[in-house]
Amino acid sequence: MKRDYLLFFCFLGAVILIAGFNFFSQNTSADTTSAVIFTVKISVCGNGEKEYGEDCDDEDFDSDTCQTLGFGGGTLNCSDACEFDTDACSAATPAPTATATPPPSGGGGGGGGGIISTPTPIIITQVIFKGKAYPKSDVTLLKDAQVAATTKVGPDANFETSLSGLTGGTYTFGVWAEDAIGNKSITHNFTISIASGAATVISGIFLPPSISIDKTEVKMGEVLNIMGYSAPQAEVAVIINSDNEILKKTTSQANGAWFYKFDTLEADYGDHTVKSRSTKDSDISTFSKIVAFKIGNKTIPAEITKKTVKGNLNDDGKVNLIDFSIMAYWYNRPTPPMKIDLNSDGKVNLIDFSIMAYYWTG
Amino acid sequence: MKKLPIKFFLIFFLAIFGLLFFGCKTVSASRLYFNSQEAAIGAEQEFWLELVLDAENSINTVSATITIPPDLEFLDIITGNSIINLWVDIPKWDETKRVLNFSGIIPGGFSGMKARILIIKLKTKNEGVAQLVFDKEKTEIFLNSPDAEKDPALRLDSLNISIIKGAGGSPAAIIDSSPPENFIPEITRNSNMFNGDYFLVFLTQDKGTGVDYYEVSESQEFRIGHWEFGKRKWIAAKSPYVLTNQKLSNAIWVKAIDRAGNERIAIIPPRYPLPWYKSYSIWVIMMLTALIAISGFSISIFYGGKKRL
Repeated sequence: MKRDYLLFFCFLGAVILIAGFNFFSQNTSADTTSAVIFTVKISVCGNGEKEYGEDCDDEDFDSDTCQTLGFGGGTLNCSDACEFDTDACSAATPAPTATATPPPSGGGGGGGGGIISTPTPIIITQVIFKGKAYPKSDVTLLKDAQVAATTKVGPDANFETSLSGLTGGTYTFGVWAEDAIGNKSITHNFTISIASGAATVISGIFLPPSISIDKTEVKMGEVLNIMGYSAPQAEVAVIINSDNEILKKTTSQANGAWFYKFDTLEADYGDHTVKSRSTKDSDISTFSKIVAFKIGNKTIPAEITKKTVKGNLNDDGKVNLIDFSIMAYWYNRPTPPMKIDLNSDGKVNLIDFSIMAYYWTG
Repeated sequence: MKKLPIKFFLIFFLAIFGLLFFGCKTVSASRLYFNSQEAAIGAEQEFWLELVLDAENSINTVSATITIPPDLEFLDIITGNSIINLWVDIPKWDETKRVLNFSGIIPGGFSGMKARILIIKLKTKNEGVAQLVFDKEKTEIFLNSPDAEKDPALRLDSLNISIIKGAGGSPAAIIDSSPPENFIPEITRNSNMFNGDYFLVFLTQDKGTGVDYYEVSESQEFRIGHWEFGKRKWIAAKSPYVLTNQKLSNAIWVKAIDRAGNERIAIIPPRYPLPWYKSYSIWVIMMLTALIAISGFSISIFYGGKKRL
């Protein structure tokens, strides 16, 4: 009897151990195989509380003063974009005659103690975006699926842009970058509720690497070159989805370019996909686009042009409202052109729209 | 004590394993459900329901068919502040089948919780329990992936509404005084549609009640300076819209109207403006000038003649 109990508890322990291992191993593998939760830091400028990404907020300077910023004295102000306004700070070595003089009054002079008119601050609804892309690349910002702004990325891969003139409400913002060879990153979306009359700062955006391959089909034993762009000196994880997932790592160069030579002997014959993601300064990007290739008995070079984007139905290099309209025209109509039927099943339906949404550039 | 059979261990093992394994899998599913402000609604009362989406993984396409029982009268749909950016099938109510269906995409994908898809405004009839149900065959969500995979573990939560005598339920009015957002329509053409004719594409968003419809006007302008004469002819339109004036000689006006009646107009200047001698405005100005000149000349002759007499 005791033996039965012992056996039972041993069995129970084993079951829990196996299930637990299974549970945690699933979660661990999800870190490399499935979606990664993309974390951007959102702070609301104007709520009187200094948050991540803000220098200050209203009167909250987090103990910063003109002096701590290297000035001699004066009053540190906070701009509408929650950045330090040091206009009223005095130089580090003030001239002996320097005295604080009030700005001229709005009305006529004369007499003492004129009323100083302070301009009423104009409240605008603004969103500021800060993040990392690829050095010297162009970043496009989408607002509700349409292009709202473009900006140039600095050599350090950092970018900052803003949008104003918004009404309060729920917005879906998307960011994508185009690397030096015209390869576009995946569009990275985040949906947030914007408060009317406040400046919202979205920081911590880290665009996934761009990715391309030099062959669509590669002969077994030959090398497949996988390349792209990311932030400089970022660790790029290259994940080849085969029967067994293969994980490789490389580091991007100073110009953001990264390159990996994949030995096809490590994988089996058949269809495979490859994707990548970057890590820099403890920031982890989401996964890049997924690129498909085949290991077979011949080699077919890949055509890398700007116009090879899937879903680009009018050959303008973009996937946007015009392409959506062309697809909408053929939606549920018989015998659509091959180019519009993205999954080649002989009809244009929601699957094709979903594929288009994945490759969207605005 | 009786010996525990091997079967017991096997069943126990499978149950625990299955619970943990499949239990973990369903966590990453998407979920469509209703968010109601009231637990119970009074009879003959208007109320609104929010159709909401939770998505653990990034999704980009939502399609749904919802059956609304005869105990509830359908009143309206509000799409303002929706997570859906582009509607493939605009939300439409079919009174005979008593179904509401729609589909749309979120380019670039969405993952998150409690995202509004739309608001349904309803009115209760008699007391009882009314159930809003998703059609499982026609409701689907696609993951944001290159192959448009369907979310295999989509969860659909129907809603039971208790209609109780004396309970409240009047909906809070949605105040929308803002027009739809600025937009820029585009003229394009494609050999695969409309016989290669020029067509117009347009889209805007309204964060209040949502865009209700669009109108297009292609009529030739009859204006002098800032003054436009005559009434502009507007035609209800959907994007893509085939242009009547394929010469693109006129300015094209596109108006977006939200469900509260606020309007936003976008104007595309003529791509190939008419030569001056084909413009109504020029001819009117010339005729008016001529008329004034002739009148002045006639008057001067008339009075000049009188003086001489």
